[in-house]
Amino acid sequence: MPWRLVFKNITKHWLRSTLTVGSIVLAIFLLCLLRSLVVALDAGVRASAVDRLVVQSSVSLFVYLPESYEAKIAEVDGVRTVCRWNWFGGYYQEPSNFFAQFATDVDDFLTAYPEVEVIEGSVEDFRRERQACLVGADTASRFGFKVGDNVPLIGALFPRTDGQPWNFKVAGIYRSKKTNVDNSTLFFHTEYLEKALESGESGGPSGVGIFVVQLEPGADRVAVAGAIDEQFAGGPQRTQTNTEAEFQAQFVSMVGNVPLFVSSIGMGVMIAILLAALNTMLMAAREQTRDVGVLKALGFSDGSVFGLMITQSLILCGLGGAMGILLAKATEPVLIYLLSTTFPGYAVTGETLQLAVFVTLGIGVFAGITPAWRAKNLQVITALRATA
Amino acid sequence: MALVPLSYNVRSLWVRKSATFLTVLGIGATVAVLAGVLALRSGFQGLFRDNGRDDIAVFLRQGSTNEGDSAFTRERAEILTKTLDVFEQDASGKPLVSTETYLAVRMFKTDGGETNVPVRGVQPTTFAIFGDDVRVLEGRTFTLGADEVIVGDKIASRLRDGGLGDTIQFNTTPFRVVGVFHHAGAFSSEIWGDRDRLMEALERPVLNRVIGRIKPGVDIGWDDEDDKPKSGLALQLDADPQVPCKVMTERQYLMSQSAALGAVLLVLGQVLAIIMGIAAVFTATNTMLSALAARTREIGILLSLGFKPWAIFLSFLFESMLLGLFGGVVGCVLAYPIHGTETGTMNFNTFTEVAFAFRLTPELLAQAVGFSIVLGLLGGAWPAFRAASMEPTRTMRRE
Amino acid sequence: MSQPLIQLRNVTKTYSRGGETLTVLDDLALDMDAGGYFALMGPSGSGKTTLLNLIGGLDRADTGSIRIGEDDLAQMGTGELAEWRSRSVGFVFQGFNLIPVLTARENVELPLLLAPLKGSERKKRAEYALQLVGLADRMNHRPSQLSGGQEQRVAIARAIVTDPTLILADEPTGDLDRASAEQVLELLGKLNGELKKTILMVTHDPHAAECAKTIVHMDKGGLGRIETREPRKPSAAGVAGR
Repeated sequence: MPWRLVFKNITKHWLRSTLTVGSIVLAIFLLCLLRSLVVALDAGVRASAVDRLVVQSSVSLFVYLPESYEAKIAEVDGVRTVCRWNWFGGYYQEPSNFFAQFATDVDDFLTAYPEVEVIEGSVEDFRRERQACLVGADTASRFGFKVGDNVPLIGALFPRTDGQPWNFKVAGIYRSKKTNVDNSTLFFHTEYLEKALESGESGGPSGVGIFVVQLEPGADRVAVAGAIDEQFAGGPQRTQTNTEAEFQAQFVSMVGNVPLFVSSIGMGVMIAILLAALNTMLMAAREQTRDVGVLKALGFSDGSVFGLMITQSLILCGLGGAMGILLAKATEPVLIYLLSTTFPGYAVTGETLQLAVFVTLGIGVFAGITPAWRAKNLQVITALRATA
Repeated sequence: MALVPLSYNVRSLWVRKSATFLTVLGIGATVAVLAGVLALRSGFQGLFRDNGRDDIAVFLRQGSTNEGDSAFTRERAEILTKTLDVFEQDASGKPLVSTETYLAVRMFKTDGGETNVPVRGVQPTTFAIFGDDVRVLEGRTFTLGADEVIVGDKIASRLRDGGLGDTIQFNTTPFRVVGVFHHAGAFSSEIWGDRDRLMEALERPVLNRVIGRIKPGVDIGWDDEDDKPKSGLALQLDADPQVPCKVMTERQYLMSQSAALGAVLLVLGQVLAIIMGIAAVFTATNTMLSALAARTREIGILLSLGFKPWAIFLSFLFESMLLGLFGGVVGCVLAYPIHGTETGTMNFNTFTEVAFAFRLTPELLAQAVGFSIVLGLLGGAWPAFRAASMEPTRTMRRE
Repeated sequence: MSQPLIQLRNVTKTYSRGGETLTVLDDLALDMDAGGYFALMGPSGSGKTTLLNLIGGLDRADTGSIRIGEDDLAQMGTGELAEWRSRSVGFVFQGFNLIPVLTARENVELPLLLAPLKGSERKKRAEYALQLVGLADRMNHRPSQLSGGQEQRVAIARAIVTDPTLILADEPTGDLDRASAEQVLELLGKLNGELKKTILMVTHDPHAAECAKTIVHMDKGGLGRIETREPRKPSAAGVAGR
């Protein structure tokens, strides 16, 4: 096959080729982006640990479980530690500066979550001081929190009676090695919250949001979960105990039609780009009609003419696709940072890249096949009569 | 001054049918995607905005952002309902004000997934406040003091156990579904029951909000732009020594509840518009460049006949504008079937699922077509410039 | 001379245009000997280009047989025919038909891509062919950078680079000025005289036809007079001087 001709045909119309490649770059980038957003939705599910269970109210996420449950859960066979998690729901200066905060049992939390790694500051300080907190690296860099800083948070759910914000002292900054814990959360001591509620310094609901149970090695998850729920079947609050993965999955399920919606957008993007590529290839083929006639007259087979046209399409699309994938990969760190609160777990995964490669090749073949087929079936004398 | 006849452009588009067709369809797909996102946003926000009322006031605890956070003890709620003299009265002279309890309850969807459904405990006056806006379609309304609920028509079929005659278990207490009710707004994605029965079954110690129909002329005075009290009732209650609280119109409250998802959709729409728009401009440029190549001789003839370069420029620009216009129309036609399609998604503000329909308004369609015309003009600018700067002697030489 | 190189028997070719059937070649028989230099002359629509296309395997006859040497074109499939063309025929067209994006040398090299040759060998042969047509110094120019006469000489170089026995030229001087035309005719004469190529040239220009050894007149799909004569010696220099 005349490879040089392939190359020269593409570079001859450099503007058209650049624009075509450019639009494919954008489309493939967009496709990777959309796909990564969907992946981000259930990133937590996939990264969940198998040795942790989550106990929550069977009625509602917003219903609190009695404090007394902690001791009762701890007694169940196979339970190693029980850790309280309470949603704090505060904000920093403005309600729009949202990030998650949880009050938790610090010692149990640190044992149950080995993936949480303190990269600055000290775990010891976090353990020791009641007002100490551990901040996710993304949140720390977003607001410029440093170790030793005082972070004032306004408690929307737990308003202080004096009308002042709560004060937390940054003892450490963490980074999670897995996506089930995002890098934007602030963790602090349950005791701090409890004391404030008891003393009347703060209003707000009492009780515990969820209990995170760490299992003994080798314990049967299903049996332990069943035993816990059994204990509270008669009330006062019925519980539902799930694996961490199931717990995370319920949030994904709540998102409803979003994945379908995002896929539809992806389809639209693909169709638009397919048409653009096809348009270019048809234009190129029309201009090369006479060339095709010459090649055939010289004795090039129908097959090699077919190959010539489809290779041009594949090269243009492949170039665009490769650059789109590179762009998606290159912007990944920036987007992870920008989307840390709305889509924690944003990641351009290998699967996404595979999909992008597949789509790229698909577009290349699809856009090239019509002109290639036409060129293959072109009669030499008709082709030679064509005006360039 | 002489303009190049517009019929030349139409004919030129017709002669290169396949390129025209593909470009129009490509721009159409871009516009359709965009229109889809905007229709989703418009459907979602419209559900809240258009069905919120200005003559209904919503009272929330200070510092809370939604009724899930908000809490009033019975005593404090009573102070509000009894002492404030701002409410309309019904025929018997009772003020149209009620207190509600609210909880997002976990339920299973018919497709097996889990979702959070708002369960609202209401009082008889609640129905009086909303009047005809809330009406029972099937069955009957719940009986006061009974373990009965009515389900919004948008979710009745989406929920397992949500149909008429089914039983829903709240913690340890079973409730019977005795009716399906309709509301044009977000209430149609909720379950309503007797306030006191639900407070007991769900072990809610507190009330979530107070809601009342306001007398004409009362200034509520909430500034939703700055999210703070500005005047009138809002300012007065903000500084109230007994029950300090937030008050806003129902419309303002509902709009604040749709802000987060609305903003996400807006950003998504903008990102898509920019990225896909650039790609569409590239396509249009390519098509116009091929038109330019095919019409080089014609341009030469026109120029040598005395047509001015700017006339050629405008002619090309007009042609690409036509491409954009057709693309926009095709996009609207492609997107139109989603108008009215029911969908559901989680509202980030309330953590509950809300059902609504895509809505393509005339303004939205106009926006979409306007956008596509801009795409066409941008795509045509460079080829038009190239066409206008051709020299007649060169264009007519044999290729 | 044992057997003619080109043997045409009962060749008929019709085209249908707008529902009407047009007989372009009607039961035609013709022999052409190897080493000949033939000019096909006739008015537009007399079927001369069609005949050339049939002999070159670019088109197929409706009936009849076309034998070129040992090969029967009617028996060949499309692929075989293409392969046969690459081996046995060189084409020269009126509009030159060079590939615009390739340089002169690359254009000439093109047919060699079909032969099992190494890159360096291809390059050498292409350069040699260009030397033959007197364009060694224009090797890296693209068609748009050459004059019409030069383009046609590149096309001739491309036609002979695979060393075919038969050169088919369709109005090779049709788009050229007189001086360039004479150059091209001189070159064709040289190919026939020195390299012993059989040449079949379609033309309606008597000046060009005069350069052939045999002139075959065609009219309305049939053969007319066949003249065998002493060919005129084309002279580019003479024309340029006039």
